[in-house]
Amino acid sequence: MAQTKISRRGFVKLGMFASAAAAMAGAATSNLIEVQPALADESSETQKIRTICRACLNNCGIVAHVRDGRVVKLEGDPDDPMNKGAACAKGLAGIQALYNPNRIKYPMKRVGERGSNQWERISWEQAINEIADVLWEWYQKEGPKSLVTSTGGGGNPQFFSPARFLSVWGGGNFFEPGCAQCYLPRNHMEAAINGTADTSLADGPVTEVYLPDCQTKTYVMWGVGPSTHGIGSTGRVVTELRNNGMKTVVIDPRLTPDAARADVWLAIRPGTDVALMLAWMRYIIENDLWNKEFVTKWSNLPFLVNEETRITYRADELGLGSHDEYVVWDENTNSAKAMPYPFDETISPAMFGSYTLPNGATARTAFQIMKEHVDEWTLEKAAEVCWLDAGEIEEAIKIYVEGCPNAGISLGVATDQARNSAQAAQGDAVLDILMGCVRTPGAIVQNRPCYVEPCNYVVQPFGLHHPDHPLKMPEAEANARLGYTEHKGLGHWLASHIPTVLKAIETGEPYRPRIWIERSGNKLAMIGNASRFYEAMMTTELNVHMYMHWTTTSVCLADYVLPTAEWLETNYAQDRLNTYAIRRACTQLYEAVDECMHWSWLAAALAERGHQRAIDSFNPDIAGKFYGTYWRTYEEYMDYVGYFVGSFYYGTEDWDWATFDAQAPSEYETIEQYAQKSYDSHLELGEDGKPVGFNTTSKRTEPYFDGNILLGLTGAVDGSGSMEPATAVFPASDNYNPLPYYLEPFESPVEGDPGYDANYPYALTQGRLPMFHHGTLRNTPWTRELFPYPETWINPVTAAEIGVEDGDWLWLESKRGKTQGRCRITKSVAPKVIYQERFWNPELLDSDDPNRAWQVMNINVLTQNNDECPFNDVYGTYTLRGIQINVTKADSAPEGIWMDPKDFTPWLPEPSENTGGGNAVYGA
Amino acid sequence: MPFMARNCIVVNLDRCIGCWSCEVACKLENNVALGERWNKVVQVEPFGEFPHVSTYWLPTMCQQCEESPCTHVCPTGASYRDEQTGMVLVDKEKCIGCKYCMMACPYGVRSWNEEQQVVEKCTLCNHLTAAGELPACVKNCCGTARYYGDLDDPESDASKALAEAAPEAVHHLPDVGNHPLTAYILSPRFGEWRVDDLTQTTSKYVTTEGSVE
Amino acid sequence: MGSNVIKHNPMLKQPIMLLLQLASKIGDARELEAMALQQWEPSFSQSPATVMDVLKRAGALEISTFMNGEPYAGTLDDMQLDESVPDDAEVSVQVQVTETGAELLAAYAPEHTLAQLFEEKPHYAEVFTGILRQTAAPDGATREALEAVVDASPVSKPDAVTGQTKVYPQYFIDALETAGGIRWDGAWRATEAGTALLAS
Repeated sequence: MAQTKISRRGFVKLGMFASAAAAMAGAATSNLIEVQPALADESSETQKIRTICRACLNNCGIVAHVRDGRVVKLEGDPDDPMNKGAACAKGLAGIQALYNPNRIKYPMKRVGERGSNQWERISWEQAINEIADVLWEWYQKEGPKSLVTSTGGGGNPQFFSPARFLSVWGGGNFFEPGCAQCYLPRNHMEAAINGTADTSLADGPVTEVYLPDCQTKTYVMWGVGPSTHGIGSTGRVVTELRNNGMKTVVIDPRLTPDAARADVWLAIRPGTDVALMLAWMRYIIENDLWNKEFVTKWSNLPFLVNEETRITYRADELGLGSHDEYVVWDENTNSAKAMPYPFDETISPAMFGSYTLPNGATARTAFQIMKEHVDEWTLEKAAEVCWLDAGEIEEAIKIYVEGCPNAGISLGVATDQARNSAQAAQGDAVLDILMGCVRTPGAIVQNRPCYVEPCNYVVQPFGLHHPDHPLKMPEAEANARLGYTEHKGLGHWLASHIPTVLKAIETGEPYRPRIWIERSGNKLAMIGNASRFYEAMMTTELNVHMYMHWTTTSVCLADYVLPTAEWLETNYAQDRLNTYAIRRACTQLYEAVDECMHWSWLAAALAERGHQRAIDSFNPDIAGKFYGTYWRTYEEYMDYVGYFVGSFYYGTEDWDWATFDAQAPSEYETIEQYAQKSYDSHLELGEDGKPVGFNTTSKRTEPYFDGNILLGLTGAVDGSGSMEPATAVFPASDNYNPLPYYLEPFESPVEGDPGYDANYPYALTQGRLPMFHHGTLRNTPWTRELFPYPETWINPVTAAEIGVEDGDWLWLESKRGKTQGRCRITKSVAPKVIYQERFWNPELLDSDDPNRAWQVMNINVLTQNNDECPFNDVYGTYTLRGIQINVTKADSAPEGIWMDPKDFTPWLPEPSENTGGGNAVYGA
Repeated sequence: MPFMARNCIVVNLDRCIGCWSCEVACKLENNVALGERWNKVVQVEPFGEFPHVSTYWLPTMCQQCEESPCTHVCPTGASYRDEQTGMVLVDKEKCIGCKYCMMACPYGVRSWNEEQQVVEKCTLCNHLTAAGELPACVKNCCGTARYYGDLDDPESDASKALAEAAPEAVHHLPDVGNHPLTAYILSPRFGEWRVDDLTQTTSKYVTTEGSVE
Repeated sequence: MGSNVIKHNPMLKQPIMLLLQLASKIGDARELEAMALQQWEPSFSQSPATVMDVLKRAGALEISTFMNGEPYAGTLDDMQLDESVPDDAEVSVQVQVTETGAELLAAYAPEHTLAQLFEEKPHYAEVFTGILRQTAAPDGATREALEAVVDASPVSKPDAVTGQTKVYPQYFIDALETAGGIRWDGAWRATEAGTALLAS
């Protein structure tokens, strides 16, 4: 053991254990920039900037007050046609989010091992280049499958940024904790069936309710809570209509404000929605309430179905006509006849019945199949399964039916969160079709598409709408996306199946993603069965987190952390009914930058290293104007946004950002045009002199959705896809089912069901809260002090059974793990149904065990995303709502959590100046 | 005593969707400290037999009482009624922090400002209304449930909201001789008006079933 | 296994293994750091000092400070702030691989992990061997060449019943690299352990 004489100076210089930069402080103020006083004492001019919020996806119009470069006030924009001056707690907290002392301000690189929470500040140049080096090496070594990207719905996402990057990268996987668990099932399935649009109120397609003189007589909100999810726009407008006499039916396990004001509230057992839908269908058919004209002429229900393949016959199969024609049983001639498009008035198609075809085979009409399929679902049976009253179910149906066809059903995210997701979307679409509530005044299903589906995000993956685009992800790579083969619905969003991604990382097969780039908040709080996700993502070669605030992803998992911009710092565009509105950056702080630039800069760095597709993505001749090239500067991106708006909405190719900005917000068509363009638009004549019909294979609505079978077999609903068949999916038959069917939740509260386990007697559900959006806003003092810890809502009967009182701290436990909540005894939920919303504790990140931040009070430690429980067949949905848990009293609250309003003092805003953001220091 | 005006806010609880926007809008506008709630939104726990239960959300703020106990007890005149607007306000310069007014207020809607060591409360955003704007809570309300104005002016939003409401739907917080101006509209079909000691609660929820049964 | 540190930080596997190997022979921390620096690669991404810290926290490396021959309860940083330590003190820092560290060395030794791979996936042995042969060539092999090896093998054929692709070429390359049988330096090359396995 050598000894060396070292002076004090000597061993300081040794610098062996040079301490890393300060750990990310959860509680301390920033030591990285000098903070300037908030506001000047002398009064100066306040600029009022009309912009668009992005605290959630209501995208409400906001007026931001900016004084001396600081955002000092926010309020609703009275001229916005959707929120009309309203602004909710989430939006109003925007200033606290913007100036949060714990923003991710600069690119940071991890020092030490993952989760040790030591960071050094690096330049954008270093960050981009180091990450690109790793990407390029793996691309060469193993190819594009080495990369997996992800995004989320919170934190101001440009949703398709990761998918756009992958199309340039040339392969790889993309996932989102929502996606198959949020909106994708409805967005894909409903539009595929009704050939029009989905019915999501939150995500934008429902525009009818905002029209002046809205004619909606009844609005059924099925698992939708506008007062909790959207508020400024959706909550406001539904409240307005309801108070002006519109009838509402709310189907929700939880007494939301909308449920409390509904004409009928059906407090449905979590996970049983499809059972109820089937009962609605049966009631409508049994009582002959369906819309004769629409269903006969504009649905595929009269078509005869091949009993073997379960696909509707084409006339040429039976020698009755051409391939374009379907086959019906003509009651006038008592024979099978080809039905030409759109309709032959000399034919009187039988709607029900089973018939003998010329070739001797028997065939039923699709409607007959449907009728038999739903026959067991009496009101009584649904009441039993769904824990409802048969009389009240009937009352609800009657209210709906009375309003039809000037009525409709919005389906919310609830049913997207369990394994019946595809089927619920099918059921919802079928009901409105049966009642003719499609493209009629007041109907929820309307033809006012975002010009760029889905969701009208401006930034698109290359080739999303142009199969031959040179930068579209190569087909072989696209088909190799993890879980896509089994769950073909994922292809609609170019997404991969999260459990399959995790399994691939865990086992290496069929191939192992090695690099994870995540653009969003807080995967460990949002992904089902979070512990599994943690274990898997800890084994990757490189994790990059792009976000505004330090979260579990950054601290527990990331190797590099890159700052993104709050909505008050970004420029963007947003359709608001017949107007196009603009999001104007009010400031840009530190070195934060809109996420579009992160991906762009990485692409530029890859191009420098010789990645051919990346090189091409900057070439306007290859990229084309529709998708635009990647951008080297933010100004280039902004000009693309301006161009996009001008070309799609205003009929001009000449716009740039300045042109757009100069006139926004403005109408691109009148409100009358906007309203009218949908009504009966399927009857508009096309170039061939025939009605344009619906956007389906048959051009009619397809409530008997045999396209589902073709989707499962080929990847395309018309059978033209090139993918391998989805097999061994649930249920046992190999094909996706043309009709919705009910699946009892795999973990069941029903004694006698195979999924019943007496150790876990209570059904857990979730649902939005008006002061949070997904995982965001737990670190903004004004929203957090309103709801400092997750509440466990328990019915008094169940609470007495368990032996807990209001205010008690609790343990909630499932087969995946345990976590805590605080008891609220309330009649907002039924006995045996427990409600607790997702939660995480930012204050615990800065501790010896940062993982506690996502463990101590997070129901996603309990939810499911493993093979134990079957996934939805079409989308691979895992189960978030309707899992079974046990609840017991805990001794205390989890240690170290902040609960008192004053605890949140360290998070009070630290205003700082407009630096120009990351754009000011780096431009590729 | 007659005043120049009787300004207050009328809240329509049929419309209130419990979003807490008014509470946060108030904090943003008036820079209210953590823990202080000038406009405190409380939910009346659903009552009745499940699932046929009733509930409503109750935003409480200074009720602008005609016979305000707070102004009566204030030793310095810091708590006063503005002669022009009739509003009950606090002059922080004069407040000595004795908190008598906080004790006297039957609704617990006055707050203690730790930093300044004075009492403060809803000001009806008179700095905004003087410039022709609406109070922040009214402007931003997502249920379009709040109406501001002078009850002596039949054309004011507050007056019109009251006029349109069915008489049996109009309620006030318990009146112990203080005559709160602030009115709440709650249609009987949405639930019975149960008020008791609701506003003294510090949490978001108040259960009333014990008090009725 | 006592420590997850390599499992949870695969990008640090090489520097960790290098440091642990060196620390098995070198007891003086300064000497260890200097030796490590000589063999350090840019792709290691963290400094030897940082990785030693990581190993200490993982319980794989014991780092002890001595003052004038006596054990000092604290780190070098602590010593600098400690007024009671004279300026001319004789300071040394010693390292020792712990049982946990030895476990890591054994568990991740490429000879061991490669053998384990062949044991666990006997149905892939032929493909693995084919890849090792290609990479043992003097110029190494391109990714495409290795993919061709896999494509030529029956293991890459779609499942006879379902028609689904079960495994991709990437799996094999990745598995062999992770097991320490091949490495990339612009081309794929068999490592010592990989070559040894081929020979046997």
